[in-house]
Amino acid sequence: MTPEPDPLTRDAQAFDLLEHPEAWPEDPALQAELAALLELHLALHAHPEVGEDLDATGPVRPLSRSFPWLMSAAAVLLVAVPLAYHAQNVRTMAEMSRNQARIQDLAQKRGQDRLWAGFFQQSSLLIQDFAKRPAACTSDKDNEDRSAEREVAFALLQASHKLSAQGAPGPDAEAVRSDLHAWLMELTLEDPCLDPRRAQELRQWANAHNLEDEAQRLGNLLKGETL
Amino acid sequence: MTAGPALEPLEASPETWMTRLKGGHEEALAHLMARFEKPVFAFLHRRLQGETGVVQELTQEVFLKCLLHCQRFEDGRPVAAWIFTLAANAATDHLRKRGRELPPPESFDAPDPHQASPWDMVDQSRKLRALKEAMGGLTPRQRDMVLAYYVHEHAVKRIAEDLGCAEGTVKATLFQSLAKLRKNLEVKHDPRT
Repeated sequence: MTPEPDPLTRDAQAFDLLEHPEAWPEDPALQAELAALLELHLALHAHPEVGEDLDATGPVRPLSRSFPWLMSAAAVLLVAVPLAYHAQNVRTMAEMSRNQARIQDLAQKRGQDRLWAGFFQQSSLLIQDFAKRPAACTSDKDNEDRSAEREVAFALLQASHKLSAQGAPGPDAEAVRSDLHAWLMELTLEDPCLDPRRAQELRQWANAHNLEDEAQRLGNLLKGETL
Repeated sequence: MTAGPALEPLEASPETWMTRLKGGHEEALAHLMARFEKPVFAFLHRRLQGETGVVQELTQEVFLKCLLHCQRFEDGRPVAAWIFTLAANAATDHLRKRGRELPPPESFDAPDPHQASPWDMVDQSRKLRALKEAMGGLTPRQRDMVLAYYVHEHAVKRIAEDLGCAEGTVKATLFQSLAKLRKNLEVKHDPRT
């Protein structure tokens, strides 16, 4: 069994680990602690000026280790650096903002994909339900009570109209939506107390177009489950 | 600076936003970005030795991964750790693609002070003032090491030589100093105190 390291060694090891989150232990509490300390560590690196008041006698920090400035260029830099700094700062901010906007656009697109995914999944479930043997109608015992399925079909038909206006995430999705739309339309036009032969026709139609599987496949795909 | 969506209070924890993101509320990503974009940028900046263009791209990539793979986030883990791990992996992949060895942390360049740094855009002066005050709570030895490491950017080895102690002692003291600074900052911002 490996002995526990002493506190000094443990803290030294933790310091070495700080910039390697991929190697952090699995313990969530420890991870939270290390993440907080890493942020502080990064902030101190980025803002060494926080210690400057405490260090009046310390050596003067060079402008940057990345650039070996020449003394003869100092006079030019006094003017050029602030301008360059502001220009860079504005560029960086603009770029960050563009990046954020791009990601938010993607997020919006993903939101729309999720609506399409919901439509396909609900349609798939409806077709599954439609394949099951329902209760008989109270008014006509020979017919199937499809009032619940018809209500869902009506709601999905409305959703289908809206999605169609939005634009499809791909031609594949549009083709399946269109097939589902036709099927949903047929179901909503039927009487809630459905003749079993007509119900059988609708099931066959769904089978012939592989509607349930296609709807399920696209639903999963758009939800990102295949990523 | 753009304001975050006004749907939820900004004070909600990153874990709350992640739960919302996983639940399909994409606006939560903007909150996670507002919270972590700058630390991730700073982290990648250090790892990649300040290649600003690449750092920007990878920062964006981290949040894209966050969006695309949010379902893989395990509840109960800190979001910060997950996001920093995504950033570390993005940096490693990038360096591997470039066929470059990962440099040891000691040889990293500090970010160019003339570049926009991670805290530049959000509430900078307040945070820096709080951090300065928290530095006052360190012991003289801890302060010396923090100044030598973060302000004068001396390597751990050199600090150990200057102060006549082992490198492990310097690292441990720096770690303890960070923990103490964090505690001091928390106490300062705790409304009960």
